[in-house]
Amino acid sequence: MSTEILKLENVSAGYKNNVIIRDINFSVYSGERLIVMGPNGSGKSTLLKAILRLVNIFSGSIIFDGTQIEKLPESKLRLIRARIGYLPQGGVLFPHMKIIDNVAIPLRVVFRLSKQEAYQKARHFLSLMGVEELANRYPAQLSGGQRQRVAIARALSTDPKILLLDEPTSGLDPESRADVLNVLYDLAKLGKAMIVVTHETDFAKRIADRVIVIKKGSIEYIGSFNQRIVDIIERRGG
Amino acid sequence: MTIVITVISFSLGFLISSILTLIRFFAPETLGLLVRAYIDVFRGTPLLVQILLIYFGLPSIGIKLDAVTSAVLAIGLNSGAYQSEIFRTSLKGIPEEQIVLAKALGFSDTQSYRYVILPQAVRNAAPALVNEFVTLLKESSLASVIGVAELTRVGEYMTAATFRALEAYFLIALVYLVLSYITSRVARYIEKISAVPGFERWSAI
Repeated sequence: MSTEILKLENVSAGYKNNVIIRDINFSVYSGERLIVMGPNGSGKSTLLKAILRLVNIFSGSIIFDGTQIEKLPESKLRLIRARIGYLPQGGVLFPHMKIIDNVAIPLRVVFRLSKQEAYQKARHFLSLMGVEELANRYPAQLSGGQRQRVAIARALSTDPKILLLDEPTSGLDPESRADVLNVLYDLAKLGKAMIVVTHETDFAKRIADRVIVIKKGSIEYIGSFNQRIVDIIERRGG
Repeated sequence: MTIVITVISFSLGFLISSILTLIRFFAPETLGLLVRAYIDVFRGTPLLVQILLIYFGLPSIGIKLDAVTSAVLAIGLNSGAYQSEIFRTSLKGIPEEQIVLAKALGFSDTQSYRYVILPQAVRNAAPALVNEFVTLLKESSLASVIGVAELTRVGEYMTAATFRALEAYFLIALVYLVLSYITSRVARYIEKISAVPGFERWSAI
C-alpha cells in the first residue's frame, strides 16, 4: 500500500502579504506522479515554493513525511528541504561552480559528505542523466537542455523522498525540449514521487497518475487526466 | 612608503567594508542607517580634510597619532566607504533565484553567503576593487601634506635640493604611472587565471 508522503490542508500562501494560492488541499503518495497545470500566473510555482516554505504560509498545514513543517524553526526546516528534490524554473545552476560542484555542493554542505564521496555520487547522477562528460565544464558552456539535465541530477543526488519540478521544459529550444522530455519520461520510471508543473499536455497525459489544475490560486480540478483538462487548458490558452 | 601606505590602507578599507556589508545585509535597520551615515560622511568630504582632521584635529581630544598612522587611518577609513559601495553593487548583481535555490537545497544563511554569494560578489567586485587600489596609490600622495615621506614628498625634497621642479615632478609622475600600470597588469593576470568561462555573461543563469 502506498504511503502518504506529502499532505497539504487548506494551505494559503504567497509573498509578503499577498495571497497567491488559497485553500489548497491534496496529498501525494509514494511513487505517485502528480502533474500541476494551469495558466501563467495561476500560482503553480508558488505551490511548489509553499511546499518548501520558500514563501509565506498564511494558513493551513503542510505535512511532509510525517512532519508538520509550516511552523518548523528554520534550523529543522533546512533538513526537510534537503530531502525534497527541487528543480526551479529555468534550472538555475551556480555559474561560478563547475558542473560536478553544482551537483556535489548540497551533498557536501548539507549532508556533510567528504569531497570524494560527494563527487562519486554526483558523477553517478550526472551519468544517469547522460551528462557525466560535462563534469568539469561551467554552466555557461552548456546548452539549455544540458543545464536542465544537470539541475535534475542535482535534484536527484540527495535521494529525495519527492521531486518538485517547476516547468522543466520552459524556455528551451525545440531540440533541448525534446531532450529534457526524454529525461523526464525516464525519470517517471524511477518510481519516485514527483510533482511536475508543466504546460506539456502530452507529457501529462502519458505519465500523470493525477492532474491538478489551478486557476487564480485555487484548485479547479484534481483527478485523472481526461478531456476536461485539455478543454480547461485550451480555453485559457494555458 | 607609497606602496606600504596603499597596501595597508586598502587592506584596512577591505576589512571595514566587509564588516559594513555584513551589517547592511544581516543587522537591524538602525545599524544599517549608521553604516549609510558613515559612507555618506566619508564619501561626501575631501580625503585631504579627513587626513588633516585625524592628524591635527584628534590631538585636541587627546589622541595623538604619528603622520604615517594618521595617513593610513584616514585613507583606510575613506576607502572602506568606497569599497562598501562596491560590495553593495556587486551583491545586488547576484540573481535572487540563486539565493532562493540555495535555501531550497537546505543551505543556512551563512552557508548561502559563503558558497553562493561571496564567491560571486568578490568576482563581480574585482575590477572595481582594482580601480580602487589604483586610486589609493595616487591618493596616497595627499599624505605628503602632513610630512609623510612618500613619493610626492620625495619630489618636494628633490625640488628643494636641485631647484628643478619640472624634472623632479615629471619623474615622480612617471613612477606613479609605472606603479599603476604594474598594478593593472597584475590584476588582469589574476583575473585571467581565475576566470570562469562566461561568468559575467551568464551570471544570471
